[in-house]
Amino acid sequence: MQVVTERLPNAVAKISVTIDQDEVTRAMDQAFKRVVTRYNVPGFRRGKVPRPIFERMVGVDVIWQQAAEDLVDGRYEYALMESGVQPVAKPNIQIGSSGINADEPFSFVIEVEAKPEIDLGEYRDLLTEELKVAELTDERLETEMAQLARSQAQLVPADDEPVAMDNQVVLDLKGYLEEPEEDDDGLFAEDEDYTVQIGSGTTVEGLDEKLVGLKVGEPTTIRLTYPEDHPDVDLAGKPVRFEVTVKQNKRLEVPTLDDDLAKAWEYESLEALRQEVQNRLQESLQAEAKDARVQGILGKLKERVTFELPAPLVQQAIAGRLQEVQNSLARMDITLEQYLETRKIGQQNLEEELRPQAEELVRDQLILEAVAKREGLSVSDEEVLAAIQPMAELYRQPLANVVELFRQEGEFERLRSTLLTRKASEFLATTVTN
Amino acid sequence: MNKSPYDIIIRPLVTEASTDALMLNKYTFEVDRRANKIEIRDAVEEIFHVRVLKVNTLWRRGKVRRRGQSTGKTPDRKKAIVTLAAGETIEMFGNV
Repeated sequence: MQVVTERLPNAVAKISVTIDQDEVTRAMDQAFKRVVTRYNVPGFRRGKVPRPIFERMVGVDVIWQQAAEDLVDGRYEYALMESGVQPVAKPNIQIGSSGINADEPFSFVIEVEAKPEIDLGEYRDLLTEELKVAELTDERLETEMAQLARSQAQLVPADDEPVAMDNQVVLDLKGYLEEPEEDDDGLFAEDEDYTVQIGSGTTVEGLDEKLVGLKVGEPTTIRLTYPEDHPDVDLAGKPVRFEVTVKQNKRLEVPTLDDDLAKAWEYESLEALRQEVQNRLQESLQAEAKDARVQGILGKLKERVTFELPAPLVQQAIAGRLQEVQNSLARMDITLEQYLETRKIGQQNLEEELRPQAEELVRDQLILEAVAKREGLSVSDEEVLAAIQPMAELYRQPLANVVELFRQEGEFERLRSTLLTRKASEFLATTVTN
Repeated sequence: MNKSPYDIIIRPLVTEASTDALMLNKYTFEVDRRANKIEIRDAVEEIFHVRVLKVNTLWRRGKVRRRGQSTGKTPDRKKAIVTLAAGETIEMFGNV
């Protein structure tokens, strides 16, 4: 049996398999035994027809077809292994010689979109730089602590003070276009009891900041221009006027950082809390540094190594990105349809927009896989199990059940490959050569 | 009586039993009901150019078939098992 692999454009791999004649003969014999039980030949009990008579009465094609099917089924996996091709889609299999002749070598061709072969070349020169972890400054630590304190802040009514930064205000609001079309007052937004967190940046650019200094009960007009890249095309780049009246003003009262506050989070003392925060920051800095290093190396690798991306993988990545977009929209209580509506684009366009990102993702993924292969990294069953363990605990299911479920869904191998990529990027992040 | 040998030998019979008999150089045919062993021997010798050692014949009685009230009968047939001399073969199943 010979396997010849060719790489076609668009990340398609073409594998030609030729099977020797005596193997074909054997397969034909096997096939006959199976096929013969399916046909009724008059004068014979089922399955008792001798081969020559069967071939004359039913035809040799039937046997041949079965044999070809069996051969393809049986050798497909092996051929893939032999050629080292990792398919990402359903293969297109073509049976070569349409030979009714049983005594010829049998050949078939598998065409499948596959992960491209990536030759990393000498890439270890990219690993010479040390991992640079940014120093944790006191300033950063203090900001973080302050933020923690703020998360515990209480809102206290302050209706007789002017609106200040960080306050939460409730207001009535009417938004008009400054240049409305004729026969239209240009009203595009109207809201009562609209709650705004000043300085949170959740409102249109600058609107919240312009509220600073206002007093409760005084109507005011605020003029501003929507940014050009605002998702709502009806408003993007247009000057508008908001008529607002502040109805309530609440000041944020931030508790002081002390042992009492720390105890609210179940820490021994403020010092313990500070230590914890410091550790956490250190870790995130470390992670950032690793990420930056990996990204840097990947970036350089992508310049050096070129390969084509298999379309199904890109499609999957796009679907994944789309899901993320949908999730983040859902957090803002917007459905994908509404989002597309305000941007006046179709899902197709959005997918095209996501395509470059998705392609980068796939590219990174493939390179990381190549790195893992190059460095002989692998993920054992135990490691996968260890990764499933916390999930099993989360769902309060016995580990064995979850593993079974994972295996059925093919999730087990997927998890393995995720872990492998993680390992590869960890490798890139931490290995230093000279 | 001057019958064509192709009228006497109607068709070869291919069944499990007849296939097994091929091993013993015995070939099975359906033959004209009126034909006797001598005629069958001569016919087989003429058609296939072989030497016949012996002919056994037997009646295959038709079966009674019923369709509602009426009964009928499938036709009787005569079957001949022809033994050839050692070394002779017939390339059978080219229908007669």
